[in-house]
Amino acid sequence: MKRTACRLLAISSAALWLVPAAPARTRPRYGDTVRADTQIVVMSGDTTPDALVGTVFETLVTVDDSGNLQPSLATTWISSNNATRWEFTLRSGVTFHDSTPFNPAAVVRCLSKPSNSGWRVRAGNDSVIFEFDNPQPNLSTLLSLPQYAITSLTADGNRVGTGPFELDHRNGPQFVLKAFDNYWAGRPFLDSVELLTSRSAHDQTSDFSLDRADAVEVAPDQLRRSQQDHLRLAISRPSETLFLIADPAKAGLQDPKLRQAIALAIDRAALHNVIFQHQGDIAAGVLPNWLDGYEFLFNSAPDLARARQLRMEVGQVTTLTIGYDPHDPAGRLIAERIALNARDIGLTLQAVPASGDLRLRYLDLPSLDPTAALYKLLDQVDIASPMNAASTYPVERDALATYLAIPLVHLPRAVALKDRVRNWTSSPGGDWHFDNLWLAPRPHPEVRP
Amino acid sequence: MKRSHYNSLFRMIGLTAEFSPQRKPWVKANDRLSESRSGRDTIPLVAFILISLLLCLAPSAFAANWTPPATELARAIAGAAGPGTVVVTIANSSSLTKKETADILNLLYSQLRSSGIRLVSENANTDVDVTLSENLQGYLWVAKITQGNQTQVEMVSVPRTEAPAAPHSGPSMTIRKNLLWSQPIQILDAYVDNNRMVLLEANAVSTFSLNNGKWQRDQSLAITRSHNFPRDLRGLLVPAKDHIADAYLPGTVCNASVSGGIGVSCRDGDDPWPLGPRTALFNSGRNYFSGVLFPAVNKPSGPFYSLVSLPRQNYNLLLLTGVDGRVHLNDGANERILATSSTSDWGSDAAAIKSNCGNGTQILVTNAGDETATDSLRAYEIPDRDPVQVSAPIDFPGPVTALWTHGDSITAVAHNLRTGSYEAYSVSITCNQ
Repeated sequence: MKRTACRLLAISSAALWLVPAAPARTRPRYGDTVRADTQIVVMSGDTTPDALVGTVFETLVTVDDSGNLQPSLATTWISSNNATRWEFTLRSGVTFHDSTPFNPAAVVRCLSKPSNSGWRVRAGNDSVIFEFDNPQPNLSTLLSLPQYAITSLTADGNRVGTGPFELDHRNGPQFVLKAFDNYWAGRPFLDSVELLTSRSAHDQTSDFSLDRADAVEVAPDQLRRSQQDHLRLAISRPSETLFLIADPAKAGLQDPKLRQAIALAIDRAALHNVIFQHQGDIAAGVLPNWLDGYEFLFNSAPDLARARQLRMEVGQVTTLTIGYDPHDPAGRLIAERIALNARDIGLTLQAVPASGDLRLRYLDLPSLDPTAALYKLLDQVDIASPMNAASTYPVERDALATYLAIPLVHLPRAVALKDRVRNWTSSPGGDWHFDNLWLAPRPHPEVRP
Repeated sequence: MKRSHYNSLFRMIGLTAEFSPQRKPWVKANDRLSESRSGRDTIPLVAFILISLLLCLAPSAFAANWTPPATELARAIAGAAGPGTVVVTIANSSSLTKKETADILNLLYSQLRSSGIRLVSENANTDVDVTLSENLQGYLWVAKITQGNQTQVEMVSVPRTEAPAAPHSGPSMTIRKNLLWSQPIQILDAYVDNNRMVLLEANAVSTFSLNNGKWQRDQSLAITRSHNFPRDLRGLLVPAKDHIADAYLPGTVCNASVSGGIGVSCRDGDDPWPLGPRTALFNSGRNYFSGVLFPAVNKPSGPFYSLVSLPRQNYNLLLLTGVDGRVHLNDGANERILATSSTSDWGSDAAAIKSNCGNGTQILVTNAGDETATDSLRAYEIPDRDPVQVSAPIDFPGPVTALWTHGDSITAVAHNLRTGSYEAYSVSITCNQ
């Protein structure tokens, strides 16, 4: 996620001229269009972006805000033969946005992609059946991940889904979604959603100030200021993790001892306290403690003595670079602080506004299920993990022991909202849900008979 | 919770507590500390034995809840530690209360002893750090078992328990609520008729009977339909003389019957819903009434969420909470809109309730907010032009999703934000002296 330092000033000024409160009602109101900005980048060729899963595209199962699996396009599921066979019964009365029926054949077509070669999938009467050579106890959980969203290919080559909104059109980074009247769980309250992606923090500020957006993102380092300015905010639990990623192909970083030495030299508390102004939590694990409950078992405190010892064991190391996103004003500060920590153990790191030997990377929590979240996060940082692990703890412990991805801080995700926006129910992980969202009517002039 | 409160409690039970800015208090079981927690306060094992004895004597409402996981964790620790002496350190980093923590502590020690563990205060073969942790799905009790350079971790997941919500009452005319039924599936309406309760869900009509003072579900009769219901689904039960009830749902009307076999027969239809002395057409694709009333009024008020009939000397005054966000008063011939200033904190739902107080009929109104906020009901009367609040609010643990008049009482359904359950309440008004 990119950061901007001055955006809050403009957002704050926008709050001063917000329109008077709309008439208050509890019952959701149908109609209207919500406009939301995000910095998420969606590639032009990406026809099923993760950002639209849950809104346009749906998975067979989903994870609720308590981290429990819930039916979605599948109503029930059962495993047998020591979890080498799974059967998912599909929901009836569901159609894709182009009116083609949602049925076992459609699911099989979608999930038989070459990238899903780990399973054999076939259609049953009203179900789909997955078969494996080895037990896969986590299949139902993993199928909640966005990469397993069920889509259908139209005659003109577009991907359509089954979600509460259908894609009306895409104009570069702008996605215009319209309510799907035949949605199986009921038509959403909004008529449409205008989602502007790849929107810089500065542009989001402008959009919010000029009433061109109803919801914009607020960077963690700007959260305290936003709270002081009494902006209406929706703040998630610390669900975005800043990692320091090491490229093992780079000279010097091939040695895990050097990566461990860097990890032990980093003063995460300073990053958390100074740069992020105590927002979120210091990270010791890939998953935050509120999600897995055992992050405290991992160590995040610096250990300079051990770090120096490891550094000496490695021997001669050339200067390494630490890359940060040039659009992220906090990035340079973080990189320079880490370079300072590395200097304490006799290692020279140079902060560069580009890809480096080490690089800073923010990753959103991809699921509220620890198993699915860990699997996806490790995949994103190129650490292989087994799909069928019985417990996440040893997988995470082993992944951390590679020191290829060093977690630094867990940060909350925040959204500034206009007063009209109701039922903004971002999940504890910060995901946006548009299906239950509604907008209050604009205020009426007082009428007296 | 302030630090001094924790300290006094733990002193009371003979424990010491520590506080750090980022962690919740740690409760120590003995004077042996793990390396990572060195320097913290400790207590001797003798004190702990005394504490355990004291706790054993005290009745514990929660002990039964924690016994299975405590047993499981104790067995896991015993399995990993093997024979020999063990030093156990316990910490609480979860939202468990002090009382619950003490109960668990007691149980765990008891179970460890039962598992053959010999607890000592120092110089043991095995060190065990137990942390009562928590994650999104519930509690997680973690035991870190260290023998020399070997460390093993055992975990037990424990479902979270829910505490009942505290009732609230007002100072003058008092609204009272009585919980009828709670369930995870959305309740659209419910009413009690003698010793039978009828409850409406999206897919079923259920009947209940009283058994030892508790409602027990007798029948659940499936509703069949040919179309998807709209979001923010609403439904209304109307008691019938010759069968159980009629159920009105968007675009669907059902008839629940016991004659000729218990069942529900449904048909597609936009029959007007009975709302007191009038009936109103419901928009089958939305969550509001279209505005068409029977008998018709001279000046329709447009689409609305709720309609309340207030008896006047020669007519019924209609109060409608409009989709336009305003509250309309309609006497059948003329319409006026209540000042926004007096209704700005009203919710969308309102219902009439008869009482022996005031002018005999009050309007119960939900509070402004959305589905993410708790809700309340307040009683109003309209003696002249503007509404006058005649009761203190009564709180609900989540948004009120349905509010219907049934005879002399009102049924309110709240979506409990903490438990996620839907709770049907019978609401009445009593007069304070």
